[in-house]
Amino acid sequence: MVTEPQPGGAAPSRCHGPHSIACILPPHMLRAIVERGSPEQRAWALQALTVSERIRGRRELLGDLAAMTALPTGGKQRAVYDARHGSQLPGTLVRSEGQRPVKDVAANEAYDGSGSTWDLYHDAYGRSSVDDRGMPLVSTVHYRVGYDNAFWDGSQMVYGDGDGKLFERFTKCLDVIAHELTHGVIQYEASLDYADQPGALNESFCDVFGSLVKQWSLGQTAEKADWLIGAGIFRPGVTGVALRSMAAPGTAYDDPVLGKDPQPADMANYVETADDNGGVHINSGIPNRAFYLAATAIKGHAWETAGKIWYVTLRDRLRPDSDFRAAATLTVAVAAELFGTRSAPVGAVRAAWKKVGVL
Amino acid sequence: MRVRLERSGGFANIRRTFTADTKTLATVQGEELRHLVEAADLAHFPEEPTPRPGRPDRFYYRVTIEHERAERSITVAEDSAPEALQRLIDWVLRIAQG
Repeated sequence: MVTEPQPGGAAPSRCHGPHSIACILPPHMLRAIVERGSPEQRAWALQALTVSERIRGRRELLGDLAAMTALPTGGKQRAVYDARHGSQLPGTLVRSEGQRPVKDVAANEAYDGSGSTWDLYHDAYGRSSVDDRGMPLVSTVHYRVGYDNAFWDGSQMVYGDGDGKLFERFTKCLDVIAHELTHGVIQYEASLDYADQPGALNESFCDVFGSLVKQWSLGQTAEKADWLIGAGIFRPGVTGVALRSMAAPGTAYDDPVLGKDPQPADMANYVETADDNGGVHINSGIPNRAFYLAATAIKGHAWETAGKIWYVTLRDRLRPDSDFRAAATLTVAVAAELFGTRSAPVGAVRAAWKKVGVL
Repeated sequence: MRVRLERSGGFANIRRTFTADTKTLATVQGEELRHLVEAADLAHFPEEPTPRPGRPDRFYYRVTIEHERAERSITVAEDSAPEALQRLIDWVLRIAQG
């Protein structure tokens, strides 16, 4: 399903963040700002345009405008802000690209983690930032008080400190940082609906690239990786190793206060629910395990082969309403195109989706 | 008066419940809670959130007020809670988490 931007309106559902005015301006006005505005105005106008024209096939509308802007195209551009326990975004700038580490651990973790994520996408897949147009990576740390969460708000990452009793700060885990940035990548690519199976795929792709950035930064092979999401986020005393396990969904934690990890490992145990946008963080266990099975069958560095197949599928093939079956069929097709119809990766990917009951 | 706050969703998707009860709160805090509940004006709030596309990893809050045998529950996405309701949510979280 392709949703066309409405004339004069730019994807209203994505309008939030510091420059929400950009969302209510018609595209012709945004283009004028891109051409004639101040550097800061040009940056946000281009970003608003890119979001509103994110649907593949409409990117030519941007055309040379992107090239005319002063946006960085070569390297990473990171900026870390501090919300100082408030809710105003982005907050106060505390560290920008090239600056030395600051005293605040969370700010440095956000800086380093977004850098590692940028590096994997760039070095392994040739991608220039979240939007593939060199978009600056903006993070805000110390959001609200004791906030047990991290999220991508449509234009930046936001991290809480955790309550300190059950949860640590959310910047502590590199896979959490890479997960959030991948929500941004998905927004600019497949734009998977955040509900039901497309939503669970959205979550799963974030976990997949979250884990891959961690494996890449540690130089780990698929066999050596822990395949956990959020290992180390729990405070001592919580009975659990992480928030999710890609290798064994449903086994990450079982705690008197937090309950038990609800993820299914295959389609026979698919959870039908209205909660959590139709179980997007629950049923993601199924495609997560499919990726784990494919990557460990292929062996070696997971980002090189299995990761490449998943990345190309996300970038070029998936659509907002794609379900598990579509993801399975498309990853098999992409594996065949990249590595040959009778190649080992094709067999591994097909067997993985069969094992979890999708094919 | 008892306020029960159920938080769901988020990156962790772990459901947690927090409560504040005027029976067990200090008098001053009890008064504070009553004022916050009054200001949040849940009686004029829709029970279910307006349907709209989900936002990645955001929380949902279900707020239940029990008062003199009457009960009122509403559910709201964290980024669409009006300021007065957000103040009530923050207050209950702070009190319940110590």
